[in-house]
Amino acid sequence: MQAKPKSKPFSWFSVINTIILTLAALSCLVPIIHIAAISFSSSSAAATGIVTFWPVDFSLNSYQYVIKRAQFWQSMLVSLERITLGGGINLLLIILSSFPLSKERHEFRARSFYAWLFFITMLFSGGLIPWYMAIRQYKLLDSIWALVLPGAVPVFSVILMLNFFRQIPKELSEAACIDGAGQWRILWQIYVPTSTPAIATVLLFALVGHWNSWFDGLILMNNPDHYPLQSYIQTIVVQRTYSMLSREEIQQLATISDRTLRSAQIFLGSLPIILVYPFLQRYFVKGIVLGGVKG
Amino acid sequence: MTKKSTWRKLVSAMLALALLSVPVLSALGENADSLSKYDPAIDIVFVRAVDNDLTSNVLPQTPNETIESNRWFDLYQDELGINISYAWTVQGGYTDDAYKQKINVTLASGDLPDVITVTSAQLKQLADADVIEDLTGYFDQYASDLTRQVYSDEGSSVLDSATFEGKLMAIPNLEASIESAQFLWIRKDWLDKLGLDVPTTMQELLAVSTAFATQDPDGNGIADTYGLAITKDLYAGCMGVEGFFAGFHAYPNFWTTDADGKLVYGSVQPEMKDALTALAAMYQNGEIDQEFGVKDGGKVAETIAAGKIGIDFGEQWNPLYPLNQNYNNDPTADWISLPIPSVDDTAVSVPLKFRTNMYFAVRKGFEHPEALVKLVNMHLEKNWGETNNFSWYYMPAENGNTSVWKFSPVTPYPPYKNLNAFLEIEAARNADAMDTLVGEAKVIQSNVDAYLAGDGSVWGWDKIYGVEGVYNVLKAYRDNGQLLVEKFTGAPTETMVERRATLEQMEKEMIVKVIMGAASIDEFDKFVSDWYQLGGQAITDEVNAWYASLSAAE
Repeated sequence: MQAKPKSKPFSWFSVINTIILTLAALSCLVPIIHIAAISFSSSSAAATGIVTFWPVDFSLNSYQYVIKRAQFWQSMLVSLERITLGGGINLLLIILSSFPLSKERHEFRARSFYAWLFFITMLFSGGLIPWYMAIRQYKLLDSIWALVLPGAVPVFSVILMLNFFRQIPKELSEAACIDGAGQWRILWQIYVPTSTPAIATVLLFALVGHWNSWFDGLILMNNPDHYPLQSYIQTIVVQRTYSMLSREEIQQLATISDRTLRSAQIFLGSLPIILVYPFLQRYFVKGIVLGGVKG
Repeated sequence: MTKKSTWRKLVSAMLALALLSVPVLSALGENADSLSKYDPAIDIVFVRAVDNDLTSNVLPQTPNETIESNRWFDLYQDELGINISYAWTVQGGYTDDAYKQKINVTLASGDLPDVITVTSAQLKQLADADVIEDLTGYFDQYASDLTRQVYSDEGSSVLDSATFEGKLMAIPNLEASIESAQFLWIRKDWLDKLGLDVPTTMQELLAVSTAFATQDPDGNGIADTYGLAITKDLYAGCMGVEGFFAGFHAYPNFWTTDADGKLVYGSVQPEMKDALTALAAMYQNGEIDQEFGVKDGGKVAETIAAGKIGIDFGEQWNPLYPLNQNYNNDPTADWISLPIPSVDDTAVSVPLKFRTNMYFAVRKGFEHPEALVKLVNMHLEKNWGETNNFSWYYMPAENGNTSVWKFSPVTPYPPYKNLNAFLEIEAARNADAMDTLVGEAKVIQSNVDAYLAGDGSVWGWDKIYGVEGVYNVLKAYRDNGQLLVEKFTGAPTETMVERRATLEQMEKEMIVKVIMGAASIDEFDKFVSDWYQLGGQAITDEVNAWYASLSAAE
């Protein structure tokens, strides 16, 4: 027999903490399970609202239909393109801008000026119309770059990253300097390899942010074929009030009633990003704690 | 001298010629111009919303066509010399958020396409900002006879709604107001089961509602059924309360006339009280879902689909949604349509909301504003004119009867087309000459026939256009002069823009509270005085000023 493990002292804090965290986790999980259950149910079961957390009258019809829906896959492609380009650009620019900002005043004289420049954009934005007009003037409308470039430097992630850089021991870069390494080399061969937790964290932020954003796709694209997935999904889940329906909308009613199909698309649409989590998660916790607390 | 007389002769000859040619030109010229071809061809840029029906039904059925290359574009190009393109398209309907957001940034950025499809409030802003063309002259000169007729079928209201200070600032995208007529939909199988007669008065309907809620019409031994379907939104084309109120001669959410001929807002009239009291009693009695105050249309539709509701007030399309969902789950569910019953001896007036709410405006400086009028002419001509080719341009059988008319950027239609189609079908049925049907009537009848042959998926069509179809009721409404047309058709007035959202919310809260018994019926009186104080009076004055300006102009 093994020795009986020492029982932890009972604490109200951990009980309440566990309850709260479990509830928080459930509130994220339950809607996904509900959507999945609807997507695997028959459409008449879904229409009567009897599906909760387990499929009623199991059916794969909606998935067979989604497979044939070209626009869904087209949007999926756009989204994948977007997270590849957007994630890469974000990561590159985060690293490049947080490295100099992590330097001391005497190393980088205009540091505060630039730091404020970045910081101000976190507090203020130009507003919807100027944002739209700027993008139009740059001739980015209706291209994938409109989704990638306007948010190319996520300032929150930059701050996270620069705080992480700061807690890397100075001795490392000083030693490299003595060995003749320049700033570029110090960045890529010392800082980046020792910062994988932070990098994984900001990368995850970037990927999730790009995957989930739908509004910019709706406004900046001039053709539904160029919508990223979440913009497309937004257009199929709109809530309707049933007043003042035009002839076109009345005809649409027949198509909106198919809840299972919508659920299948939502569920499939969230799968890719859910699959990313397990790979990055172990860095994720460590990264945000280190970067935030020790900054 | 001779020279002078020659001149005189010439001038008078020219004058005579001019005088002669004026009537000739205007008679011939109108038709010659209305569909004449541009040579060389011109370009015109639209924006549009691409709805789900188009992407998931029409496009798969039309293999070689796309949103920007299709039979309508070919027609406009070949016959009118007009090349259409879209500055942008969005997914969804014209009233969905996607289109609204996109149109807002487009308007705000000042980058207008040649033709822009806007709401009446936006149209007013554009007209005030003087960035769109005055189309009065173009419409007068280029509109075909058919176009003129279609646009005056609802009286002058459709064109009036786009007229500011006597100028026609846009071509309305006409929507039929008559389709907003409400009917009483009721489950006949439940009536039969409980041994009840079809209700013909409001008192009988209230008794039916009580029976539906208390006598277990679905026979499962549990008291889980309701009488009336209503949602938290209250006013709607299905599961709404407006039809119920009309039975009490009350017209909420509607501009009507009082005894003096002044326009008044229906929601603040004393007739509302009796209807509200009746609804509160029904709620108290469990005939209305106790949680309706938090349920939207989709949620209440679930209750209908589950076979728990027996009465629904709504428009003609209700059997296509949500009633069909009940039938799909339970083929014995037999919804029939009835006229709205009256609470007293006075016949019910059925309110018809003014439905046209989108407008085609032309960017100021566009060289060919008349091209828009020509497109409208052509769309109407090819679907309903003498040279129509309905079975190619509207709902072709070889494309699965899908709505290919949606490929056209402009889609006006004769407002009475559905009723007329029904009348044609009825006439053909009575004459036993179904094969003489053409156009839309033929397509409709093919759906009805499919249902009669056992295809349950088109059940709704039989309920609308079949022997017992709802258009029988509409026809009776019309023949008995029961249709009450909304009198205010203008753009939202200044105070409306500012206050309407608040006032509407206040109104709905009051109604929900009174029905749920959270407030007594006296709350209504308080609401009325609040409504007038918080902007309702100003709105009423503005609406009447608009109404007066209209009659002054005519």
